Amino acid sequence: MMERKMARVLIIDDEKLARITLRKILENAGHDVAEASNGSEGIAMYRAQPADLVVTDIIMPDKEGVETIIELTRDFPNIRIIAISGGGRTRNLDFLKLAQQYGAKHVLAKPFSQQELLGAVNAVLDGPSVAGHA
Amino acid sequence: MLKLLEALGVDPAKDFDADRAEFFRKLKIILARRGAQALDIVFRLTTHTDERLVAGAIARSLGANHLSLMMDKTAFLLVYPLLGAREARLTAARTRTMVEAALSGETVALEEISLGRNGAIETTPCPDLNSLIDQMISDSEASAKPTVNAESTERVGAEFPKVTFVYRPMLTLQTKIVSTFIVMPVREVAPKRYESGYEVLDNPHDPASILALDQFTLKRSVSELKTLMSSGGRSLFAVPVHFETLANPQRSTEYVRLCAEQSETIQKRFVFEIVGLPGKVPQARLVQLVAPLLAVARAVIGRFPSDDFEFLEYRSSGLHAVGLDVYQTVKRERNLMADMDRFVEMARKNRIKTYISGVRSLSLLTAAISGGFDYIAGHALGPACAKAEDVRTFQMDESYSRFLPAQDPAPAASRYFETMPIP
Repeated sequence: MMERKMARVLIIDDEKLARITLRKILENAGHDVAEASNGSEGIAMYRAQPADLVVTDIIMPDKEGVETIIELTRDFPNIRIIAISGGGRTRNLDFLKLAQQYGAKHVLAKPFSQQELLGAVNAVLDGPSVAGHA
Repeated sequence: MLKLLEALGVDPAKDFDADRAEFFRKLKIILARRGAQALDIVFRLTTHTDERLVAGAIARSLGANHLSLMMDKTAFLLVYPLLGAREARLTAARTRTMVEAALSGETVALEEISLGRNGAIETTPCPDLNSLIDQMISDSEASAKPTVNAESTERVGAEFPKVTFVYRPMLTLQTKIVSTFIVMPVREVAPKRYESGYEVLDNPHDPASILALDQFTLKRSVSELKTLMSSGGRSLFAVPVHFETLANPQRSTEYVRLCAEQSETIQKRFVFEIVGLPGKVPQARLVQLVAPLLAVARAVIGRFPSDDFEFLEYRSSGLHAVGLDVYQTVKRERNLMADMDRFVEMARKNRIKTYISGVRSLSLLTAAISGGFDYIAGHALGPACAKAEDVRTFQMDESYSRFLPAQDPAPAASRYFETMPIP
């Protein structure tokens, strides 16, 4: 298997437990992880220090995921984003479709496995887009 | 408050019981926030039944900053330090109603306790919930000067020269169709700044003025609906009517009479929205409010406080849906979203539909859609209109369009979907 270079991943999710879980999985896979608890905070963090990949939830207070994706892709056209949301409810799948429509490279419906997450992360990092920073 | 509790034999310095220690710990935190202005009244609820059943019902009835303490196996203290006296009485009476329901109708005693000027304990039996609501209404009537001759429907609206109406589209989530418009009386207080709800009234505590506003709103809705129908529009109107109007038999009759004067075609386009409900209204009382309207409308829905999750038997009262208005809430979105989820969950348990209005941000809109509200309205969905419009489909990406480069508008609907039941 080809050795993967460590990437910087920004997680945007209002649920602390979800952030902790995602961080653990991504750090175990060798990535450097930063966290934000809503879209506004995530965008500010990305502007201050761009990441190779953003993993964002959709349903969040203050600034939700689709709006966050629109703003990030508008200002950073080459950004790589994975959108995640509760998949148990049909309506959340609508938002994942919108996320993809507005620039998310991959979407994941919760609950998803560690393998599914890492598979999506690898696929997006290996994809054609160029990261928003050197 | 602490002196009163001490007089009742509940002394933090003497009591080492863990429950009492926890009670005093919480009470002191609350009192520190309110200081000398904390309410100096407590309520004693007494039963003859298993204290676990009673304790469970009391625990379910308590809101944030409400406290209870078991005095002995039959008596509980209820403490509401941050409420006003009238609100506290209503809250305690609602708790008694819930306890009585838990005890299959057993009568439960409720007393209001305070300290007299001489420091002696004064105890007064607390009226039941319905009496308190009636009393609240007649008090406000007595204190208000009559500002309108409610007998004359000809003059309706003359006293509201600054009130205009806007029409807020409401989305039916299941079909993704905008087919209902909420009629909103508003008053412009500054350029492009509007007040709505009770704030459009010069005296929001005057039931006669409230009735006059409700009649004015109804008349304007009829006129607007006729205009819409003449151009083939098929939308429904959600018309607000205040609790104060319906809670008084004379005013309710007067309002319903005006509704009954309308043709059946008009009536079947009206969904009455009862606004200003005090929350935790007993089901029997709700039936009294809803039944007269049901005879002259397509459906009746009710707007409840955001912390009211008790919808037990509301479905059988004839209400089609219970709703929230989150426009003026000062809660943080995170907390509000938790309330919204809970509201929907409790309504579902009681098999009653839900609506939410005043959805002001995309984050609340996604939470409302994801949370499963049946009907959604608010400016995050789209702007209010000066005129009601025909039914149309709603595209999920419409709300995000303002963030995107200009693109073609969403296609209009060509089909008419029924969204509210015909009673």
